[in-house]
Amino acid sequence: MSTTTDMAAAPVVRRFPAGEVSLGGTIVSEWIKFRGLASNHVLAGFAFLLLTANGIAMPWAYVFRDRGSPKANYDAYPEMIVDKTGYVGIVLAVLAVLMITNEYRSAQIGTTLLAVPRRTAVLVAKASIIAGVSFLIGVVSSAVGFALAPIILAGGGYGYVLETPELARLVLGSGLYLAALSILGIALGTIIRNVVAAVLATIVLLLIVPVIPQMFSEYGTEITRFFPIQAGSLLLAPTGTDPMGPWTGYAVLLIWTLASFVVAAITFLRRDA
Amino acid sequence: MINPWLAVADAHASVASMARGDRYEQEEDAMTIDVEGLTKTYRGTYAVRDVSFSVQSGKVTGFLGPNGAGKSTTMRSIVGLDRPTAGRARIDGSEYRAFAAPLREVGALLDARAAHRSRSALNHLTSIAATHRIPRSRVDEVLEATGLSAVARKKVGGFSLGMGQRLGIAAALLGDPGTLILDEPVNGLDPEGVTWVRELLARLAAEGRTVFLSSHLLNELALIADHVIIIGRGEIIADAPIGSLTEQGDGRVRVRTLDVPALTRRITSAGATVASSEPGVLDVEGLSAEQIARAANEAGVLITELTPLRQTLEEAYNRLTRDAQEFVSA
Repeated sequence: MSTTTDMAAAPVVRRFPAGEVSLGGTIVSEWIKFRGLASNHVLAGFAFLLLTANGIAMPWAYVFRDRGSPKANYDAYPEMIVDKTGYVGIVLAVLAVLMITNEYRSAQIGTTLLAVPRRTAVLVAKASIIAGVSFLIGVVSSAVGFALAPIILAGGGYGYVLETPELARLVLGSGLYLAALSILGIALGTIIRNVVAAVLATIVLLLIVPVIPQMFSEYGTEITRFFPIQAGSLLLAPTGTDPMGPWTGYAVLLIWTLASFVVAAITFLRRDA
Repeated sequence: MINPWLAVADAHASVASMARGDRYEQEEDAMTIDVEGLTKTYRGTYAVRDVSFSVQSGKVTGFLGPNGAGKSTTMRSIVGLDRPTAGRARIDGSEYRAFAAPLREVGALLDARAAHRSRSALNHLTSIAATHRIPRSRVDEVLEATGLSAVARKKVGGFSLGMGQRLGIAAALLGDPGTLILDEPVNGLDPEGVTWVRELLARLAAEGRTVFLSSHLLNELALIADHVIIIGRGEIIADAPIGSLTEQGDGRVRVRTLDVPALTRRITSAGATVASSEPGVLDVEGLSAEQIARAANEAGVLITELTPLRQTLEEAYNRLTRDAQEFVSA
C-alpha cells in the first residue's frame, strides 16, 4: 500500500541490531553502574572490613579479656564472630539508598527509564545487584571469621563447639540478613527519593524508632523485637535469644523488606520520573 | 549515485516490514510522533493543555517556545517519563512503554546533566548499552561521532555543558534509533558544536528518521529545523514549515525616493498610509509595490528602492506568542 508512496524518504538503515530490553540486560547494566562509582566500592569495602575485623577482634578480645571481671566469666561462643553484623548492615542499607536516590539527584533516572521503560525491572535489577553484593560480603566476611576464630582462640587455650548446620546458618545467614536489609534500603530510597531525607529516614527507622517503645513502657521491648534489625539479626544470634527463633526472626525482616518493596514499586510506577 | 547496498537494504527493509506485520500499516507514514489531546497538570496548574500535533519523518521539526511553555513536559510525556493527566502520545503507532527495544526505536536527550557526576562517560554509555545488548563497538562509535573519545574515561561531573550535550546525544544515538527527541540539544554548544548538530540532524532526517528538537531560542532553531511547532503557555500556537512563517509579507512596502513630498501626496491621495523611518524613505501601507511604482511613474518621481517588507522570523514568533498570551488571559 504505502510502500511506493514514501519514495521521497530513504529507508532508515540500521547497522547495529540492538537486542530487546530484558531483565538480564538490565541487571548487567545496573552492575556496570554499580562498579562505575568509586563511592560504592568504598562503602561496600568499609562494610566488609568492619565485619571481617569483628570476626577477628572478638576471639582476640576473648583471649586477652580481663578474667578477673565477673562480666568476662563466660565461655567462648561462635555467634560472637557475627554479633555486629546486625548494625553494620546499616552501612549496606545506606549504600542501597544511595544507589536509587543518587539517580534522582543527578537526573540519571531519566536515562535509566528511557532504556528500560518497564520500571519494575529497574527496581528488581537494582535490588538484585545490591542483594548479591551484600550476600557475598556477609558470607565471605563471616567465613573468614569462622576460619580464623578457632585458631585465635586455640592460641589462648580456648575453643567453641560449632556443628556444621549451625556454621551454615551463621555464614549463609550473614549473607541473607545483609541482602534483605539492603533491599529494604532500595525500597526506602525509592519511596523517599531525596538523598539526605532517605538516608536519615533509613537510620531513624533502623536505629531510633525501635528503641522508642522502650522509653515509655517496660513492655516496649515486646514491640522492639519486631523491628528489622532486631528481628533479622536473630538469625545470627545464639538460639534461645528470643522465643521467635532465628528463622522466624528473619521472616519478620523479610516481611518488612517485601512490604516496603511493594510500596516502592507501586509509587515508582505511578510517579513521574 | 547508485549504491547497490542501499538498494539491497531497501528491498530487505520492505520484506522485513511486511514480515513484521501490520503495526506500521495503520499509519499513513511509518515514522511519526503523534500527540493527541495531551494535558498535564502539576498540582492543579496546567503545564500543557490539550496539545495535539504530529511530527513527520524525513525532516527536522523544531519545538519552539519560551521557557516554561511546556516543551519539556510534552517531550517527557512522549517517552513516558511523565504520566499525562489526559491524552496520549505515540511513536510509530506505539506507546513508548510498549516497545520491546525502546532505544532502537527512539533516542532521547532530555537533560544534558542526566548522568551521575562521578561516573565516566564510557561507564555511562556502556551501562545504557547493556540494557539492549548493544555491542561495545557501537559505544566507541558514538563516542567517536560525538568527539568524546579522548575524554571517555573522564568523570561526567567535570564536563562542560557542551560536553554534557555531546554525551547526551551519544546516548541518544546508541541504539541507532528511527526517532530522535532532543530537548534543547544545542544549549551550551559552541558555534562549531551547533554546526555539527545541525549537520548531524539534517543527515539523520535525510535517512528518513524522525527528528524532533526543542529550543527556546528562535535563531538557533531557524538554522536547524525545516518545520516548526510553536508552543506558548502550554498550548500549540503554530505548526508550519519554517519558511512559511517568514514568507508572508506584512503588507508594507519600503520606498526610497528623491522627492518625498511629491510621492507622499500622490500615494496618500490613492488611499495609502505612509510612515517614514529615515529621511528619503517611506514605509507605505495600503498599496502594492506595483501600484506604488505606477503612482511614482505617473507623478514623474524617481524612486531608487522599492522593497516589500517581510516580517522576520522573530517578528512572526513574537506576534504568535503575543496572540497566544492575549488568548489565554481573555
